[in-house]
Amino acid sequence: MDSKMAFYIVKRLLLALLTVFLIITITFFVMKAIPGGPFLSEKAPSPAVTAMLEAKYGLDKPIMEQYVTYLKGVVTLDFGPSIKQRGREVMDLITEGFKVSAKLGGSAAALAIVIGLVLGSLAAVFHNKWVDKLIMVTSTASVAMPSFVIATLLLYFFCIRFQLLPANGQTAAGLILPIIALSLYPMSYITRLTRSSMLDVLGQDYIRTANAKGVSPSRVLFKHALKNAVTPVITYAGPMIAYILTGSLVVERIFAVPGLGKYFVSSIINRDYPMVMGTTIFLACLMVIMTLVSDILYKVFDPRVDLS
Amino acid sequence: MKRVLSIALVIAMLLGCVAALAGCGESETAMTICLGPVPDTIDPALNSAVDGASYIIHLFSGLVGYEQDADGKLVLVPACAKEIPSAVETADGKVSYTFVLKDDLKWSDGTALTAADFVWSWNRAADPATAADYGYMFDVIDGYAEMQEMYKFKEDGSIETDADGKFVYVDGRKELNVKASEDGKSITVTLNVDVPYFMELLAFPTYMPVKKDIVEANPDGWATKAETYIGNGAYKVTEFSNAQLVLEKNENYYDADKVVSDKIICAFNEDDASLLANYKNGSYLFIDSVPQDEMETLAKDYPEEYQVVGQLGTYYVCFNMNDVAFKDFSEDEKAKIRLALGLMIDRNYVVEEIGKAGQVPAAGFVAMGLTEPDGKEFISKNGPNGDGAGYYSVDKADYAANCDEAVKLLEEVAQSSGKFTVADKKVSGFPTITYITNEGTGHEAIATYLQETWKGYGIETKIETQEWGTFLNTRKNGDYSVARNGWLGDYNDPISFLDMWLTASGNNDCQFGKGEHANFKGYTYKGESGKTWAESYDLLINEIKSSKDQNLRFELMHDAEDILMSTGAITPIYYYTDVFMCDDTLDGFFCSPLGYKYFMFASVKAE
Repeated sequence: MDSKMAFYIVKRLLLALLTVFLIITITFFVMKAIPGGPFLSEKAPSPAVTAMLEAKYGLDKPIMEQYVTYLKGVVTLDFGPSIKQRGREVMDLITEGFKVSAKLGGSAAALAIVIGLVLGSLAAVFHNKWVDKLIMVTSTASVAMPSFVIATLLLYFFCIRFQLLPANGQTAAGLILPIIALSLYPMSYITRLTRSSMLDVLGQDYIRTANAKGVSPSRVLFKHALKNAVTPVITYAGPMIAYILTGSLVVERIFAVPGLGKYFVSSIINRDYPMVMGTTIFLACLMVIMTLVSDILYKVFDPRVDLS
Repeated sequence: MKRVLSIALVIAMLLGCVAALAGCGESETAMTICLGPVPDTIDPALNSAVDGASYIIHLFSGLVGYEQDADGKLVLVPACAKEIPSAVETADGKVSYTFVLKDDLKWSDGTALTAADFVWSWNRAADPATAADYGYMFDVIDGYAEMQEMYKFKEDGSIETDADGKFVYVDGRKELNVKASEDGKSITVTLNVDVPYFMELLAFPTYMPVKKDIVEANPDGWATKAETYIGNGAYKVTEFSNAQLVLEKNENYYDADKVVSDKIICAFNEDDASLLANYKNGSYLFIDSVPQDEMETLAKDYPEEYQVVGQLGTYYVCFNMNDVAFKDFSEDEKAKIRLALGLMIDRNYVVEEIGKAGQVPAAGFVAMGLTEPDGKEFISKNGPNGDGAGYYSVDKADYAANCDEAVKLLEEVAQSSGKFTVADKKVSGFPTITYITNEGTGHEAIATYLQETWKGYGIETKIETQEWGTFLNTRKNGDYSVARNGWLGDYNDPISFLDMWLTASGNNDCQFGKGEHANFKGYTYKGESGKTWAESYDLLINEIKSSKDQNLRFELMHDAEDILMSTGAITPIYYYTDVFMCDDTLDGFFCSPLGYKYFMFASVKAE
């Protein structure tokens, strides 16, 4: 059993490497195909300066040579310097941003999962009662509302109107609103997932048996039912955590959180090639790992799942 | 269990907040301001951005600097230099200035700063190998040209390297003609020609001294860490992260007694709405930009704090000289079409209804705020007659006349070319114009305005909105027909607006003197007509750059603007303004027309 699991993990990790390699290759060539370059600005530097800079960052070399050099760098975990933010290493920028985004995203993900599971279970237990209806209306509304609307509303009421919380995420107190803004969507989504799978589970025979045998309702719900109802949540939570940990452009921007989120867009706008690659590889790796983790969790929660 | 967990989590978060709030108490003379997002660089030689420059002027001090006089006017004062010297003519017809440094100048780490530091820093910034955007700021100094040629260049323009990766020289290393005295107390600079804006250049970030051993130890990264960021200005860096730049008073600064605030926290934030929220709730005492759609409300609600000041810059529409859509017309006809399209624009409407930030309708390309040798404004003498009337009237009352003039020009072209017709102030059979712009509410609103306006005359316009990087590339390569554009001057001299249109300039988006246009002989140079762009405009600019006679220089600069505007390829819309919000408790703050913000003499008033 254990060796089977180990074999499975190794197999998946090898597949993951291939996936990341393909992502690197596709991103690299697509990125170079976009018109423009990192040294253009409203005030263009002189051709001599541009040529010097291109040579400095190896952009004067043929594209295949650049690709091979880049791959060599990736193998040694050297992602090169950022072209836009002169003198800074891509690795350092990502690490620095990730520390902030992960703290924010981790809290938001935890909040979303815990509250989502609780609310979803409640809604299922009180199926078609007012509790259920209230939870469903609120969660539907939160799923439908884009994060920039939620973030702007939070900003307006809590920071400007009532001035309860700071409007920038540079202090711990400033992280409360972005955490709420980030967690609302996954929280509502998880609530809805939990509710529907819980409804399914609660109608099954073994739950009826447990109830008949006099097991306490909370024990039935959290021990017997939730364990089986959680599988779709795990499927969703894996990639969700990867996304939420790498930061949200919108939420981080609105609350001035110095996280990773902005780089996913700004690096492309600025044609900061090493940064585009760095952020893409980082997200890809995290995504691959989280998917693997959620697959393993299936097995833990449901021994019937056959990993091979 | 899960419920307990979630309650515990919420409690933990709340506790965290309380702790953080308690930690927010700062010393009394600290202020938090926001000038923009994380700067690309704060290395004085490499910086070319306005926010970066604002940080640098607090962290470094050049030979000369700016202060506000009693009337609130910006004046140049000696900074590291004891006084501003006068020019001395050298034997070979050049001009030299000798600056005597103040006594006991020190870096922020306490070590001595000497004249040699300036010499080394300037040579570093001007060295082609440094690849500084603003390296050309040193082109007034003797030796600059030789320096640019000192390396062996490869065909692609980069420098050849030897086996060890070192750059290959043609004939040894060349340096700027800047000499430090042996005692390290004075610097002698030799200029090819005495330019009136030299003292301003000395106050420019590119001319600030940097510490040789620090820079050499880590040429790329020294300016990214607080520990290695050694300066000689009013403040020193104690923290530089993705969230903020913290400046603390530099006790080794020669004028430390005059510096009021102990600490300035420069928060990084790129979202206008977020900036405003932080300003409104008191987190930031100063914000350097405001959301465009809030400007009117803010001007009303915060009359004292919402500030609009002049800025050296022009927003304009540029036409591609080699536009394929108009290739069937002669050069004269194309110029008339462009001029006509420009005359149809109601600049007052654009400024009042779209810009809404106090911009000034522009009647010429060189922006307002630039001074002539006699102290008058450059724009007070612009226009074909040199009377400040501009190249067309921007008076509201004259708009109808401008439109009539435009129709007349189109009728002339219709007659001479026979390619389209004009009837009842409407054209038919006119080629469709493609206008490109980058994303941005204001830019797109102006694009729509132009489309509507030109449509009023039967001219169809297709608007293409491009993503920033692509837009810059399209415009630079001349793959467009008509495009939005903008320019901010680098120093207080009109040449900063005119030399960008040299054929070889990297900013020559109109493609003057390139492609087909290179052969067009329709310009006048020194009274001689029938000259190409290279034989007229380029020569004129070179003459301005090498001329010693101030009055002549300005006369020639007006001539250059005349040529430029006669092409119709540049259609100025408005002169930029700088809009910011400054809390009324902030005392002693000032800014320069280049957009630099000065907080070293500012303090927070007790309420």
